[in-house]
Amino acid sequence: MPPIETVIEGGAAAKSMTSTERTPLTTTFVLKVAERCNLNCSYCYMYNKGDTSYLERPKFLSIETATVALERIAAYARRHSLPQITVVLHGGEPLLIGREWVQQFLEERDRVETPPEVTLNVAVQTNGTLLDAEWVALFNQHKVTIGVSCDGPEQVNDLLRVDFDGRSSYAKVRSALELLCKTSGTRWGVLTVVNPETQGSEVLKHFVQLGVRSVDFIWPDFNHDVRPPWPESMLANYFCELFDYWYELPSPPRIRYFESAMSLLVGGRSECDALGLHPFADIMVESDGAWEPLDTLRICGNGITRTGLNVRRNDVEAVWDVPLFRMGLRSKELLAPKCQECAYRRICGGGYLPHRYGRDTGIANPSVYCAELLILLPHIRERIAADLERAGLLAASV
Amino acid sequence: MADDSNYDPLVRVRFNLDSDREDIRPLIEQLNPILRKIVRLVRANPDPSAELDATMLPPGFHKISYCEKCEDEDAAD
Repeated sequence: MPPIETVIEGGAAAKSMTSTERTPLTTTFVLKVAERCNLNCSYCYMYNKGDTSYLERPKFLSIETATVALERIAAYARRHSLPQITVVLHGGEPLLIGREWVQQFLEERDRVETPPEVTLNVAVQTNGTLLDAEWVALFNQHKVTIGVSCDGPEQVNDLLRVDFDGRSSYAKVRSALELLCKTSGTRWGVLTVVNPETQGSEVLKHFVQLGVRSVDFIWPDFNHDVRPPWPESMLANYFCELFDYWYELPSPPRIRYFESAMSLLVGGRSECDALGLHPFADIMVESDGAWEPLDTLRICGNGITRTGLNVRRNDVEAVWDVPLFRMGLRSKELLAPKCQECAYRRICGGGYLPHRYGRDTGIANPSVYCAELLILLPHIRERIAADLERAGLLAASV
Repeated sequence: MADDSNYDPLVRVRFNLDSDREDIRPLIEQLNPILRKIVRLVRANPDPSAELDATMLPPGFHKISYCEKCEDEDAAD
């Protein structure tokens, strides 16, 4: 594999990126508080897509290192006048670290943030198997946004979301979802990794019946070196069927992917990083305190996200000179020639960063799901254009 | 690199009251709930250049399914 500098810079010497004028500013930091998980989902980019760097790291992020990270992040936010920062507790399974740690972390957050100058919003992404009333009370008390991973009804969820003995995770996750429906208002949602061998409308129907009001549907992580195993258009058909079902619901839950696609199509903004022409600027903190770029890039090579930087030694801005991070910042500049000519480039943004990656060409490729996106996005466009025209709101279409 | 300085959305909606000389709010009311919400939000907050940078992304990670800013679908009006 060529050095990443060669892949993304075309062999040119790495350019320093220390000017804030050129550097999009990160507002989301992801803390890998637990580098282990109690589930063994086969599609997991942390453990089952070839990256083994987790084995060399502590199982848990220490509260001391987490506090240093919070202080670095808050200082960075002050330097760049960023009033709102999101810090995500992530893993592995973050709840494995225990309530006492999280309680202490939230107290440190309260100490470090200085609203309105700098507010550190906390979110957590959990598999839901450990989420009980005490956890939910703690999160609600501190206004922590909760994301729960669940792939749908039992027969769908348990195809891939099982423990290390192959046992179902569904009953525990369903209990967590029912608890959240009763107690947590709108400050939570579900994340679903799509399996095109199932039916999207059935998955969504399940969540609607439970009372879930926000579902993120995520494309499975593949790239040009390890391509998706399904026949072309299978995922597009899944998403089109799901869109049509969702679009006709009288009281639809939020699906940010579809809402973002619709918004971009009519000249608005994206709310999800899988759509839109924007830099990828999220920064991770690993359990040893390492600063790293976007975690899903781990599917692109074992250890590819390593930086040698650490919250103990380096400010946030040190990440700006990491080649892989810069590659994400330059995602628009590095669009493939085919994408630069495509009418949909502003909508798909060339694809989610890891899905564009190839060992020899970096991210200068269309998404590995390009063909699927060029079925789905015109499908959405046609549906909304027809409705806008019917309402007398269509000015013109390209 | 493609020139996106004059961004033209793929679906052009009649947002501009001055050029239309007509109140389009009753027309927007005819749309289904999802499209109505999107049109209201974009009308109130268009993105003429679509030149998003990270500071413009809403709070929240892509794996977290909640956006406080956009939860109220009537907020745009």
